[in-house]
Amino acid sequence: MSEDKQAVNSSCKQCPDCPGKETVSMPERRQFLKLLLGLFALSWGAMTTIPLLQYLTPPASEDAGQEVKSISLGKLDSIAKGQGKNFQFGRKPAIIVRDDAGELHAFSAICTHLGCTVQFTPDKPNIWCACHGGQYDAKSGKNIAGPPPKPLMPLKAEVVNGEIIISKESAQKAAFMKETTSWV
Amino acid sequence: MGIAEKVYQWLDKRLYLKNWQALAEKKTVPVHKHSIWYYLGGIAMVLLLVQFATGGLLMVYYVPEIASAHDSVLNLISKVNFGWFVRSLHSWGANLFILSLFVHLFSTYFMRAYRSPREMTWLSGLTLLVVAFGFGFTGYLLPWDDVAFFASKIGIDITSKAPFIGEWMATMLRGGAEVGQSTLSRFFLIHVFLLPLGLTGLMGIHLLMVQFHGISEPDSFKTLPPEKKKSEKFFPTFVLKDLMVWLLVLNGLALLVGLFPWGLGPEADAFAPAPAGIKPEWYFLAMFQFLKQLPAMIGPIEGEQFGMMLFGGIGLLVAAMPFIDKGNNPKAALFAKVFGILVLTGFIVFTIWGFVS
Repeated sequence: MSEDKQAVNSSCKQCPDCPGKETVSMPERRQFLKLLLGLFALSWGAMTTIPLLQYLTPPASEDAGQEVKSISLGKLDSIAKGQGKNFQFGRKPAIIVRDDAGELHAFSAICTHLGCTVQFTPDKPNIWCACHGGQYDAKSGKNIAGPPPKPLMPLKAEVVNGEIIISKESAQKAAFMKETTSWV
Repeated sequence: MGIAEKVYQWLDKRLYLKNWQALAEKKTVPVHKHSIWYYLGGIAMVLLLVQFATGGLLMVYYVPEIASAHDSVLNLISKVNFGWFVRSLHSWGANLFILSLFVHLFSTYFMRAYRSPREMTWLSGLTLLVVAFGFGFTGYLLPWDDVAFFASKIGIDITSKAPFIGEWMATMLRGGAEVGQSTLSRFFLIHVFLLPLGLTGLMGIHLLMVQFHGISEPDSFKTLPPEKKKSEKFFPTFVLKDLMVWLLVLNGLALLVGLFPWGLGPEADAFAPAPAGIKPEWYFLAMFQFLKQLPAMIGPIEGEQFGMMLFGGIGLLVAAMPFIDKGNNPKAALFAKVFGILVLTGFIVFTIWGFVS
């Protein structure tokens, strides 16, 4: 029995309906009310925070389902041998390199280090990221110098009727996805 | 009773002016050979006021929309009367503000002003520095030029490397899968609403603490015999000196703005390669340069993640210093000093290296 309760009981004559005898003592009631207040605060906090966080979470993009599968980059001779260029593939930057032998190599232009957009440097000739100096092999997309932890995500480049067609190669992509994180 | 006196009496009865005056006069400022560092907090505050004023003015013309943002800044600096001046004041002011915070931080650190009972002043000050970084980071993107675009991309990507909540935080900042309109809208909101709100509150707490505890005295002053301890009243003596220093700072700022107006890069193109020679603002340069030296992988973790964990550890240790070096252990005091010198030297060396490389 708490001290308060004892004090109440010793100062009265213990009537059969003494309030101090049967009912909950003041400190216990106070504690209960405090607990209730805490629960109210907690649930009010959660009721405000959860919808707020949901509101701030961006909705899925409307055109996420209409993913670009392939694009045309125009005539083959628009890219000279030993040159490269950046282009837009769907909603992402991409890069194509035509090596000295005339072969085409295309990749996602997103640096696997911190997401900057890479470029072809004809003098090396490598794919280079200006942000932190990462370098990739222009033929394989392999990370060869600097901080990038993974190779560039490959794209399929082919010539159809003299026109360069860039597409996602599912098998290649699947293999790539196995060892790296997603890029879609 | 003159009219001025009557007005004063009337106001005093309602606003308790005398109490405020007593509060301002209560504080004294110790006079010693390191007293010059006491001006830094005030300098930071006056530069912050410049930021509020010029930031408000910039919003008159700035349009937070990706197709118009760059144009609106270009229009502001090339056509609007004094537009270039206001914009340069804001950009230069921001840099000087962060510089003054750094000097303030390191000077209070080496004077060991973080010790009891000023732990909360120290922590609120450090949080203010983080808020200032937030201002710098979000404000950098708003003109939507190419360097800003990639700097934000990198910054958000680094955020995503934080353990557990990194990806979620990056998505929240980006507002989608790519840096675009949603990012600009969010950064704008953070820059002009959230951070100013947080900063005002934090600065209130910081200044209130300074008022509660008075100005900190370095050990060399504390141990002097009472007759050798010189001090001056904060109000009006130190405040008047403060005003003179502020005037110098404002003149310096105006000179920088006049001689080196802030530029604007080409408009951001999400599909163009990152421009050669891209670098972050100088206050992130040391971290940038350090991260650049790390290999792709350090053991099982990415180099970037290792670097971020290291910076996080240093930050936590700086924040915990009041609880390590309490003033009763010479070893802890020595550790604080050596650690401080290492951090400061590392910061300066990597910043310079970043500039020249």
